[in-house]
Amino acid sequence: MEFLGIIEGIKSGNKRALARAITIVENNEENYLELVSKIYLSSGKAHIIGITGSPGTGKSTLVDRVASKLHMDGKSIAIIAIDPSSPFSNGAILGDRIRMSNSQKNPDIFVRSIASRGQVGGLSKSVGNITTLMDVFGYDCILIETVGSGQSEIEIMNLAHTTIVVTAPGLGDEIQAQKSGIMEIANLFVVNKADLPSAEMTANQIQQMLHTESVIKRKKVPVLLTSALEDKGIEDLIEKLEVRWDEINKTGERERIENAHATYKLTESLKEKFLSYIENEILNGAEWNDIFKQVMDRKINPEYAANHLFTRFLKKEADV
Amino acid sequence: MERQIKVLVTKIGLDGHDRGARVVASSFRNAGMEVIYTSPWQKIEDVVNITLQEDVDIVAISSLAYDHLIVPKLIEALQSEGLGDKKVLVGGIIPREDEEMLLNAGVKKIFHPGETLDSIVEYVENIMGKTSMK
Repeated sequence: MEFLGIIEGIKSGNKRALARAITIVENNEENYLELVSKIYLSSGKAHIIGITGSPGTGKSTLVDRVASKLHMDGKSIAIIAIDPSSPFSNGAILGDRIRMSNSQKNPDIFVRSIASRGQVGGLSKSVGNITTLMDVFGYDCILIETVGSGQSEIEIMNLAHTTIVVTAPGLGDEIQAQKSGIMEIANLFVVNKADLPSAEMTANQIQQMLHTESVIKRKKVPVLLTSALEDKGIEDLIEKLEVRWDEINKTGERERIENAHATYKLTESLKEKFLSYIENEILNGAEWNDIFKQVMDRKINPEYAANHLFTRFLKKEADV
Repeated sequence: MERQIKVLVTKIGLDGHDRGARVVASSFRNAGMEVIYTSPWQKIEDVVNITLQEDVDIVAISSLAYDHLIVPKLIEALQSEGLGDKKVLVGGIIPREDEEMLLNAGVKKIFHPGETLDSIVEYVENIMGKTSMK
């Protein structure tokens, strides 16, 4: 399928074209930038929902149930399920589909498994662009399930309109709930595995933590109990998602969120450009080996050495 | 950047013995491939759907109890969805007298017991022309 065919295909609802376009973006194939640039112009309709939380809290199963229910309510749904790549072989086992039996048997729900490919923060570099492709294809809701690597996995808030943090009973005490990072980015909290005995207590602890927060920040984050396994609490969660989507569209909150997203994407892309440029210039520069040896011999502190290299680099740039 | 090979490892039909499929899936991963792994008992239309959505290069079917007999139906279904370019491999207990039928139906390669994991990985790398971009 050639380039223009793919763009036309995506706009006219050809799933093969969408799947192929995702591969192009994932692999940075030739033309990928042109593809996403063209697609970007028609984007901005879908409700992007991020689902994050520790491994084993039941994210995949929950995503599956939420997707099925949303689909039954007449929404079109796409899922991006991210699993980790091996830092040694770069390979990955993408196994989220095992827990997504409902969505898997429903060809109307588009599921794409993505490997994190060395990216930290729970996403993969291409996820933003993949979301845009699915958005333009016409999906009403795009569910992004993050890797689930732990407390600092907050990248998703730079991509999603709504972030759901999933936890499960027995993962930690109330101090855990007060920690910075992942606990702060939730628009909705879900205590999954509510079929387990201490679920209520976990929900209470989170609620107490949030109460203090809400006094300071003047916003209320709902805490819900679900059992994805027993298909309980899902309708309540869907209702909260719909209420939030309505609310952020009415109050102008959506614009604020998308403003933050755009700022983030633009600065990150710029950083990446600068970084690779500077890396090329400095790592291949004449001084590198010498300075590096001095750092290894403990003659210069690494930060001081970096300052030195950077100053020299700026001077050289100014001379050109 | 080198393009990563994407493989679907799955089982169709009624047999649930998936240890072999898991071991092969791990070998693919250790060789740097991205492996979509599903539970056994997939229907043909499910495998077609996964192949389409995930845009995999290889569809690897493990069969230990005569489920290989429905592989030709799977290939037909893939072709009718425009997915005839995907390479279908079969591994497991495949009677020699069924080989020709499978190969004629479009199966690219059959792996029998005793095949080493390395040689399976090497075969996949070869047909995907590893080192080069697709």
